Amino acid sequence: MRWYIGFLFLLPMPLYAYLDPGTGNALLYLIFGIFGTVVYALKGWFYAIKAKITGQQSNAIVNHPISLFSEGANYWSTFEPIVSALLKHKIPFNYYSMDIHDPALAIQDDLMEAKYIGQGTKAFVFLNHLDTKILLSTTPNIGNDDFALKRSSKIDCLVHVLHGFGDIGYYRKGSIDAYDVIITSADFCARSIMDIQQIRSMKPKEIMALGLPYFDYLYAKSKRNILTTTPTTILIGPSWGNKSLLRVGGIEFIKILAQNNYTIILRPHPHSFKVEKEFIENCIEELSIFPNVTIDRDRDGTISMSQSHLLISDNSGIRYDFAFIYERPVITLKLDYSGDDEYEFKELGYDWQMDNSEKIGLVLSATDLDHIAHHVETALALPVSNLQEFRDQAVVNIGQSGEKIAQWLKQRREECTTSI
Amino acid sequence: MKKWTERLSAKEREIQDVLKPLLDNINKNFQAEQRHHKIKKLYRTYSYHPIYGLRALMGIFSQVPFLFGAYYMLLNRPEIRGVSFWIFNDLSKADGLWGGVNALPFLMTGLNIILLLFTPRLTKKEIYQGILIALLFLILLYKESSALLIYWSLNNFFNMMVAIVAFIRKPHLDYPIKHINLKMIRNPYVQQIMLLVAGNIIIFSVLQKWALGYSKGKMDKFLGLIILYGILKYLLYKKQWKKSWLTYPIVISIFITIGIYSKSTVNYAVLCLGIIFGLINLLFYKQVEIKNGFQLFISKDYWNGPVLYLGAILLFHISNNLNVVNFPSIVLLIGVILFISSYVYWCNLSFVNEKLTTDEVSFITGISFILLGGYPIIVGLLTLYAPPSYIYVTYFILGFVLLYFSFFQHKKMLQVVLLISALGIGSMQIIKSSDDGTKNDSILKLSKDMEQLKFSDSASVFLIVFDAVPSLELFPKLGLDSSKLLALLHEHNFKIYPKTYSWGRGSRTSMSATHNMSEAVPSPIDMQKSLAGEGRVWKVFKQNHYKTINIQHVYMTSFFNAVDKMLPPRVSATVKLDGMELLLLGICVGEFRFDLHLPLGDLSMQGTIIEYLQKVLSHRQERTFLASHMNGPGHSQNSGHCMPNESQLFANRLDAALKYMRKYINLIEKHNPQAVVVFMSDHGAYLKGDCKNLDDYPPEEVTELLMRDRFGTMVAIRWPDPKKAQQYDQDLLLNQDVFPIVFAYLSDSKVPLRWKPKRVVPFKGHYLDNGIFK
Repeated sequence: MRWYIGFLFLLPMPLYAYLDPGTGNALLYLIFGIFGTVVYALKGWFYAIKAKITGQQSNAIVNHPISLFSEGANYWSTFEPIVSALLKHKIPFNYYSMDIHDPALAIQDDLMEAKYIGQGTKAFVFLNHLDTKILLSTTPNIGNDDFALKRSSKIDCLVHVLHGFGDIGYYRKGSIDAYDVIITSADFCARSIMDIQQIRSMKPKEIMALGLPYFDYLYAKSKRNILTTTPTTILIGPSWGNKSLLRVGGIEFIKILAQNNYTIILRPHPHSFKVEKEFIENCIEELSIFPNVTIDRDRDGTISMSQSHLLISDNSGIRYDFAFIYERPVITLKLDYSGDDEYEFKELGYDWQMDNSEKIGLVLSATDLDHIAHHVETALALPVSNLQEFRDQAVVNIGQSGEKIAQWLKQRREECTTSI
Repeated sequence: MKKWTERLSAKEREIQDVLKPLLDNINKNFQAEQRHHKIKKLYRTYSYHPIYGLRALMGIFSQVPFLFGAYYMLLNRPEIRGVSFWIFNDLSKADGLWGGVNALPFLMTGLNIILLLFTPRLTKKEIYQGILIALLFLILLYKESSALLIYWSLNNFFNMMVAIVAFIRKPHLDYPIKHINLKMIRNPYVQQIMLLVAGNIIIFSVLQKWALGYSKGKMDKFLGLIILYGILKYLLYKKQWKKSWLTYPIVISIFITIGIYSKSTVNYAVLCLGIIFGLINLLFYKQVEIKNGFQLFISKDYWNGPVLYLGAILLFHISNNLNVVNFPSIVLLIGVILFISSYVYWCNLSFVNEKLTTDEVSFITGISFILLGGYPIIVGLLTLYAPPSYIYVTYFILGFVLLYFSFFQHKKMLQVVLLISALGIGSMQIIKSSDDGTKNDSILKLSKDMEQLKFSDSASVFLIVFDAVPSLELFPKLGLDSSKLLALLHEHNFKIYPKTYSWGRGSRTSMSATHNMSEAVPSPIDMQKSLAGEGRVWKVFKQNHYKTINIQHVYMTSFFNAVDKMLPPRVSATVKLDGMELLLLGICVGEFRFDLHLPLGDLSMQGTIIEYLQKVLSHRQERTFLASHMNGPGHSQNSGHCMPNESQLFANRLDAALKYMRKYINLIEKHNPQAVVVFMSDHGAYLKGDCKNLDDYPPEEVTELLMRDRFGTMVAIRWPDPKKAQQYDQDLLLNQDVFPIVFAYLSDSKVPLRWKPKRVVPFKGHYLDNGIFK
C-alpha cells in the first residue's frame, strides 16, 4: 500500500527543496505516517459504523477473569505450557507483558487478549488498576508496601508460580506475602511456605503442587536436542555477584581442568555481562589461551547443557535443571551465606537447595577445588538412578504442569463467577 | 536532545522489527475487514498506533528550523550575486562546471548516497528510499545557486565523515556498503528497473515534445541516447530478436533518432508517439495473459496506480475550490489524467517481467509520471492546445474506455483501429501545425512602409506588462481604489490614457496583437511567434538596430525565440519545472485550473524582471527594447463563479504589484532616464459577471461594465519628451495603438500612426467602437 500512497505525496515534492535530502527522506516518512494513520483511523471508523449497523460483535478489549502477567521473554518457559493449555481448552484470558519481545504477544488467537504494557512505572500504573479476578504471575513482591507494583483492588486471587527448583528459601523476605495462592513443583515446597506463614502469623495461603511449567518446557525442548560429545565435556555455570563460583573459587580450577584435557564450556550468568562485565571479561581473557575452553554467551543454555557430561556450579538453579533433565551429575561449590539475612531460608533455618545438593552430585568447599580433577572423576562415576528417584520427588506432573494449572485456573474462574 | 531522539528512533525501529513479520503474515492471510481487525488487534497487543511511527523522525525534525534558516539565508541573497569563490564564478547561480552541466548537484547526490552506504542497520527499503530521495533532490536542486549547493554538499560531507568514523569504530555493525556487489547490475531485478526508467523516459520525452513544442538542447541528445539504450537493452534482455514485431522498435529507433538529431520540427515526435503507443500496446497484449478483464478491472492491481493519481489531484482541486468547482473542468481533468496515467501504467507493464511486482511498477510509474513530465504534459496540452470543452471531455473519456476494453477484452481489431487513430491524430497535428506555420505567416510580415521606417531617436523602450489591471476609470465601478496607482504614475510623470482597451480578453490574444500592431492574431502559433520576437513591433526595433530582450512565460511564446535574449532560457528542463510549479500553484494556492500562465523562475516573474532590468540598465547603454510580462496582479480565479471577496483579493494582489511597479520605475529612472517606459496591462480584472471570460453568459446580459471588465486595460507611458509625444498620442485608445505611437515618436514621423488597427472590438454581438460600447 505504501507504494501507492507514495504517488499522492509526490505531488508537492518541490516543498522538499527547503530541506536537505536526509530530511526529505524523513518528510516522506512523515507523510506516509500521517496518511497511513488517517487511512487506518478512517477504516476503523468505517468498520465500527458497519458493525453497529449490521449488529456485528464489537471488537473492543475484553477483561477476562483470568490474567497472566509476565515480566518478559525470559519467563516464557514458565508461561508457554500454561498459555498452550488455556488455548487448547478454549479458556479465554488476558496476557500482560513488559517485554515487547515476549513470544506470547505474537500469538494470534481470539481467546487470548495479549497486551504489551510498557516498562517500569508505565507498566506498574497499568497493573495497579488491572481489572481481573485472577492474576497469575512469576513476579515476587507484588502488593508489598515497598514495591511499586501494587495489588489491584479488583483482583480476588493473586497467584504465584514458582519458576525454579526448590522451595521459597531463596526468595527475598516477604516476596510472596501478598499472594493468595502459590503453585509449587511438589509437596515438599509446602513446608517452607507454611513455616513462613506461621512465623509471620499470616493468613494461610493456598498451596497447589501442580508441577513446574518451566521444567516441562525445558524438558520437552531438551529431549529434542540431546547432543553427545567426546571427550568429556564440563560445563561451568556460575551465578553472578560476590558470592558466586568464579568470585569465591577463582578460575584456577578451570585451568586445571583444561590442562587435564577436559573440554570446558564456561557459561557465565547473563547478568554478569551487565553488572560485573570487567571481571567476567578478564576471566574470559585469561582463559583464552586454552583452546579447549569455550565461552557460551547464548541466551539459551540448553545446547551447552546437552553437550556436557558434568556441571560445576554454586547455588545456581541451573544445577537442578541439568541434573533432572539430562540426568548427569553436578558438583556444587558450597558458599557461605552468613550475614545475608535478606533471604527467607535465613528465617526458616534450613536451605532446601543446598541441603539437597548431595543428591545431585558432590558438594565441595573452595579448598577442594585444588583437587578438582579427582572430584570430577568421582562425580562422573555416580549412579544415575539416584537422580531419577530424587527428581520424581522434587517435581510432580512432569510434562503436564501446564494442563494442570489451566484446569485449576478454569475451576477457580468458575468459583469466582459463582461467588459473584 | 540527541540522545532522547535517538532513543525514540531505536524504540520505533525495535517495535517495527517485531511487528513487520506479524503484519506480513496478516496481510498474506487475511483480506479487507478481517485484515483490518487483525491488524487493529495486533497494534492493540503491542500498545502501538501507526502515528507512533513519527517519533522516529523527532531527531531529524529538530534540525528543520536550522535548515530552513540556511535555505532562506542563501536563497536570492543579494550579497552573493556576482561573487566568485574558488572555482565557482557566481555563487548566486548554478555552477555549470562541466561544460554547462552543473557538477555540485551530482556531488551532493553522490555524497548523500555514500552517507547512506555507511549508515548502519538500514533496511533494504530504507536504502532504496534514501537513494530515491537523493535522486529527487538532484532533479529539484539541479538549478539552484552554487552557494546553496555548496552548503548542502558540505553538510552531507560532514555527515558522511561522521558516518565513516563510526563505521571504522564499530565495524561489526551491519552497513549497506558491506553488501555492495558489482554483480548487482547483472541482476535481472535491477535491469528491470533500469528498463522501466528508460521506458518512461521514452514515453514522456516524446509526449512532452508533442505537448510543449520542440527544443534542440543537450537534454534531448541525452534522452535520445537513453531511448536507444532502453530499446536495445530491452531487446537484448528479452532475447527476442527473431520475433516479427522486432521491426517496430527498429522503426521507432530510426524515427526517434532522426527526430532528435535532425533539424526537423516536432512532427517526427508526433509520429513516433503514435507508433510507440501502438507498439507498447501490442507488446503488452502479447506478454500479459488476462483471462478475465473484468476481474482485473475491479482488482487493486489495476485501480491503485492510475486511480490514485486521479484521486489525489481531484481531492486537492475540489478541496481548494469548494465554492467554485467547475464541472467541465473536473470531468476534463479526470478524463485526461485517467487516460494518460492508465496508458503509461500499462505501457510500463510491458517493459517488465515477473521480477517486478505490479506495486513496484506502479510506484516507478508514479514517480516517472510526476517527475519526468506527466504533469507538464497535461498542463501543456490543456494550456496550449485544449480549451475545457465537452468535446475534449468526451474524447478523453471515450478514448480511455475504448483502450480499456480493447486491451483487457483482447479485441485485437479495436487495438489496430486505435493505433491507426493515434497515427491519424498525430498526422492531423502535423498538418495543422504546418498550416499554422505558413498560411497565416503574412500577418506577421512588415508592410513596405514599416520596412522603411528609420528612427531619429535612439531612446531605449521598456514595455512592462502587468497582468489584469483595468483601465483607471473602471476602478470605482469594480469596487477598487485607484489612488495609490494614480499617485505612483503621477509621481513619476507617466501620462495616463483614459478608457483604453485591447483587442482580446486573454493575455496571449491581447499582447500578441500589441506586439504585432494588429487586430487579434488568429492562429495560436502565430500568437506565440508574435510574442517571441516575430511580431512586427520586434521587427521594426530590430531593423533599427535595437537589442531585443524578452522576459516571457513559456505559455506566451512556447519554444519560439527570435530575440537577442529570451528569459528565462527555453530548455525542456525549464518546462518540466514549470509544470511542477504550476501543479504546486494549483494545489497550494488553490488555483488548479486550465488557463494558468506557466510561471518561470519565480512564481510571478517579478524577481526575474528586476534582475534583468538591473543587468540591462547597468551594463547595456545601447538601444534596447525590453518586453516583459509580470503575473501580478492577475485576474480572478476564472472558475465561472465569483468568490465572495473577489475585489478585495484583487486589491491585495494589486498592492503587491505596485511595489514592483515602483521598483521598476526607480531602476529605470536611475540608470536610463531618457528611456520610453510603457506600463500596460493585457486585459481586465474579471471581477464582475461570472468572473470568467463570459463565454457562457447570455449576450443580452453583457453590459458595458462587463465588457470593459474583460477588455479594458491600463495604459500609461513615461515619455522622455512629453511635448514631442503630444504630437502623436492624442487618440491612443487601444493597447495596439501604443507602438505605432512609440514608433512615430522615435522616428518623429506620423507615418507609423497609419498602422493602428481597427478600433472596433466585437464581443457577443456588442462592440467597443472607438471607445464607445454598442
